[in-house]
Amino acid sequence: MRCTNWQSTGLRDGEEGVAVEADDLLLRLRDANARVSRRDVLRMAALSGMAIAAREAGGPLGRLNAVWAAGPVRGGVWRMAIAGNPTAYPITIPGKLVDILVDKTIYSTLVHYELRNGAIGVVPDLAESWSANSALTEYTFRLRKGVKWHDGQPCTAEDVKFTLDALLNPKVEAGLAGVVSSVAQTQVVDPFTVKFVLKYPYASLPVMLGYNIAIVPKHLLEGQDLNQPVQFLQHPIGTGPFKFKTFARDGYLEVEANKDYYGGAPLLDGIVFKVVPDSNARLAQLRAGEIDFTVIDPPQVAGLQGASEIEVRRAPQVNYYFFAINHGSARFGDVRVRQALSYAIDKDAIVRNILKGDGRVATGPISPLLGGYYNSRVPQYPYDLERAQALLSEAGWRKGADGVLVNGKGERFTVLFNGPKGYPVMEQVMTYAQQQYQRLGMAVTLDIVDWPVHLQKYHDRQYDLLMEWWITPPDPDLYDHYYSGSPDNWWGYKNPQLDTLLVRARSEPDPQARVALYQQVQEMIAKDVPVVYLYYPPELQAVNKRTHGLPVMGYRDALTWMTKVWVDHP
Amino acid sequence: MKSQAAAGTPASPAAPALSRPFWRRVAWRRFRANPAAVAALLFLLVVCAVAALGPQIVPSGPNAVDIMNPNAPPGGTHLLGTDENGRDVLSRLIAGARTSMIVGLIAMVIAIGIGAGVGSAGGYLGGLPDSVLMRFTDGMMAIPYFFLVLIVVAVFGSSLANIVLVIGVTSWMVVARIVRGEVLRCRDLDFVLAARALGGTPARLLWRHVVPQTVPAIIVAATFGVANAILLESALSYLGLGIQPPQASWGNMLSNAQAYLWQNPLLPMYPGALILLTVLAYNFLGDGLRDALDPRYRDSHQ
Amino acid sequence: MSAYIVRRALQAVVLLFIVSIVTFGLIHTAPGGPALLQNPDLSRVQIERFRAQLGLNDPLPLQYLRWLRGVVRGDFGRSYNTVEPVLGLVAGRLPNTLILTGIGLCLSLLAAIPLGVASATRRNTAFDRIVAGFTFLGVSTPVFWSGIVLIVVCSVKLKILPAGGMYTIGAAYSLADRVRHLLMPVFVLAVANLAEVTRYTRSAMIDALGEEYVRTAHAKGVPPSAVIFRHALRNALVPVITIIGVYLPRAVSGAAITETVFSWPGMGQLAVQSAATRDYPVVLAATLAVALVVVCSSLIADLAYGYFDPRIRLG
Repeated sequence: MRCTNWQSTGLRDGEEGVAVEADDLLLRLRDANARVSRRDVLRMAALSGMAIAAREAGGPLGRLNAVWAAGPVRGGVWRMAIAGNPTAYPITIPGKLVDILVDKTIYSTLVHYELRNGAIGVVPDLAESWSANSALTEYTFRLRKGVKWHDGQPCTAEDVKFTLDALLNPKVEAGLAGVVSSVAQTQVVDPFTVKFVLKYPYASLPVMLGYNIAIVPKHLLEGQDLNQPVQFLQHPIGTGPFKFKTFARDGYLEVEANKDYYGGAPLLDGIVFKVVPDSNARLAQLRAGEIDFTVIDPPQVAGLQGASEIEVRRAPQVNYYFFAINHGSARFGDVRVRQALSYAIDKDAIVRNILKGDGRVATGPISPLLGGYYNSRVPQYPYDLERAQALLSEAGWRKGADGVLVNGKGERFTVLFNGPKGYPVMEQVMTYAQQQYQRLGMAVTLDIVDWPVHLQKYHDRQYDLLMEWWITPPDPDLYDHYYSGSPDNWWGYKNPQLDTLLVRARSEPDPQARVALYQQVQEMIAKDVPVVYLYYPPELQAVNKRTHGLPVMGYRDALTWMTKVWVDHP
Repeated sequence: MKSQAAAGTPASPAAPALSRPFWRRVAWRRFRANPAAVAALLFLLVVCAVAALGPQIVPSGPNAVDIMNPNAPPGGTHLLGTDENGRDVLSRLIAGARTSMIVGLIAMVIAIGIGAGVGSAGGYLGGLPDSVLMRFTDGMMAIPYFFLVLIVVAVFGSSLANIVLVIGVTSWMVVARIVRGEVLRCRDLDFVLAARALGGTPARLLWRHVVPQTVPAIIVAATFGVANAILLESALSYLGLGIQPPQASWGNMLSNAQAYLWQNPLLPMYPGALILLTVLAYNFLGDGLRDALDPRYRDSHQ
Repeated sequence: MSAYIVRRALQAVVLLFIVSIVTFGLIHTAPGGPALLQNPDLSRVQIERFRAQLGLNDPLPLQYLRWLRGVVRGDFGRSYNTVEPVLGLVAGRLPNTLILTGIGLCLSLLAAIPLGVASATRRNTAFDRIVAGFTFLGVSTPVFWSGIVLIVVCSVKLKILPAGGMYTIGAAYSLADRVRHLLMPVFVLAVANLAEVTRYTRSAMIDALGEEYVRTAHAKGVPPSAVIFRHALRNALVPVITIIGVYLPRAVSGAAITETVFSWPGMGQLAVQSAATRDYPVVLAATLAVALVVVCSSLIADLAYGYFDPRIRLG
């Protein structure tokens, strides 16, 4: 049933999804006001049948049996490791990722994401429903009623407008402004209805509004300096399932359960976000039982073998790793050269030997997690060093006396290959790639630099090849990075035909037509190789088994479902 | 030493005018009698030889990546196994010997040179020059070290020469203070005052009388200078600076291995053991030198 | 004496000024702007706008004066990474580091001085060599290794000590709990410093024991222990004082890796993190804090020379 869908996304712990569903049902049944439908009863029977079978067979489904037996328990604190000091302020997110993680528990977004049948979709959160006009230039969102801020005040459309205005205010250093840059104006229609007027037709607005766009309280932030709201920062107030409790002065930030949460009080008493900068130390703390959750790298999976109380989960995330190509460099203008770059890399070997099987070879910028949008039938570039050499030859590059490729004009094929320091897996991939490209005759110099310098060289195009990754909202829109006129087209890629397609696709109101357009987009990109696509990695999570109910999603999304999470009590 | 004896007070009968070669033979004999020092010297000579011959004697290319065979255990073609990229560990250790020895020795020489110069000048001259030099030293100690290295590496690149320079130029402050302390202690010793009474430029006095008194401390500082330089390079690699791969150094082999701690716990042992042995060897060598050169040495003390 | 101190104080102020100017210049030479702006989701337009807003496009002297004006008022600006006031941030972290490195240094000295003295009196014996071997093992093992190995052994395998942090979160205040959290990082720091202090002590003791007055004391029939402790040690302490004087500033910013591995929220970690992410206001404040400590410890060391070795005249 479900299992096949999970397998198609390359996951192993598909059974986890079934366990989550069972928890779900149990929670609803135990809820005082639950009404049990016939479907629920049938589902329950099916699940318990599977549980009995699993108990016989052993394995992860055996846990399902334990869940059925013990059931969710209230109380307890869940501890998670983060790499830096968080600031619970979603407007400027100065610390970027760690802030976003903490904000997921304290604040709410209009919509959030759910993983169903192997694809990520949008579900309501603060917004109950929404609709758009036929041109996709105006969206109306209807908000849930009865939502209260942690200080008791009601949450209304005014707060939504205030948040969006703040994000789009040029004077505010809003890290997420790009996500909602399609919005021209936010209008309050009535206390529970918001209207977004867009600058251009845009199909992806609902998805974007779920991408970390947390709503902040107008009554506390109006009139404050939004770049440094000193008082608000002392005690941030949101509408989320958890309330801010203590500041991160001594290396952790604590939140406690919000009993009045509109989605039902959380089962946990609280969550502690512990700041543990060293990745080996995070793993050690997990194994010592001092934290319950951390994200790990492929080389660290080996360290968890034999740790029976820890579970390694491969959570799907919308992410792809690639070698960016600087299209300003004349050498890369010939598509054959770019194709050669892709043929020379054995991506299967990378997934097998470096990622230890945790990953899937990438075919393009759109991930299989986007369900119907994903086109698996595009041209691919399986490992073929001879083909790569032949393509380079056709493009006019022959090996000179010293083994380095030279073209007709006598220019040598030198490559400055940039990458960020501190990511062991990326360094391994780059080291391998350097060797492969050197076998083709390119003179490759690795330029592994620290993060700010890496990003600066990326933005200023001081590279020939550069390794990066891209985590995106679960939406197929590629305009920002692939459209030739976009200021965020970091590679200087220009393809007029692709441009037309991209604009059409993002403003297409008919979902099926849109799917067809994106299929074409992927086909075109695969043929033209704007960058060398490498792999889609899962997010590797190491979780203490006392944790139950945490959906198997990337932690940016899993943290929006914390009301369902409960822990065993010792 | 001879200088002390010759320029010493006339009323010192136990100081015959002996020749330099005599003292050299005495020193060598003393050194030879010290087993640890001799062993250390031999070890270091071997390491230097390996470092010099490096490319000739490696079993396989130290930078030859083999993605199919990462973290292999010792055996077969790879005597000590492979690292996280499938490169032969033994070859990298040999290639790294050259890098690490250069880093250790040259950075130390730079640090000792600057430090001893600044420290002895300040300690001896006193007054305003001392204040200026010492405040300059204080200032250099205050500048955030990591930041300085980061800038040098980002602006000038992390070549071997730059790393050596930057380690040397940021390690001299300790030496300066140590040397200054010693100079302060010796400046007013009897024989120095006597020598000053006899006349002579401050530089000559400094060089012939005061500096020899500081030699033991300088030798210790030099020992630590090498150790610090090699380890600092390792710490820089851990922080993202330092010698960049694929070039091998014991320091960056050590720091790279810690990301693979769980997969291959033995990997750091090899460079780590070599660093320890080298640092120990410099230490025993330093002790041996100091004992051999010390005129007041008594063979059986207490 | 007091004139000397006043002079040193004036020199200190000048030094702090110069250090702040040099650091300021260095910061802005470093390629790559603040990490705040290095967010890959920001568009080029936004980055430019934020730069202008943070005042990063103004000429350097103007930016420096702006910062100086704030400092005079007690406002060191706000951190780019956490938006909190820098002074509070640094003031909160400094005690954490001082506790860690202070105790580490004391332990180091407590062990190193006796070891150094013992090695000097048993020169070139097996004892001497073994002590050298062990102390150098401590020095040659970088903290990012010894720290993690200790954590794995004591926290993961044996489960007797906590794996990091300053105290157990959620538990009531308990001195025992704080001590348990201190044990491993302090041990690692002490072991790293042990070798240097031991070696310098040994070297200085050897020198002192060879002096005329020591032989005179022997000849007079003074018992050996008294010779060592009352006569030789005082003079041998000069290089030791120097080392301590150098360690104090290192104590503030030098424990960065230890603090990172043991998740200890201290100054060292802050200095490295803020440099890596180009959090300019924090880098400046952290540098000044270190400069202040350097100046004070330098003064204390110089005064201590005079106390321990009367032959040393200062100035």
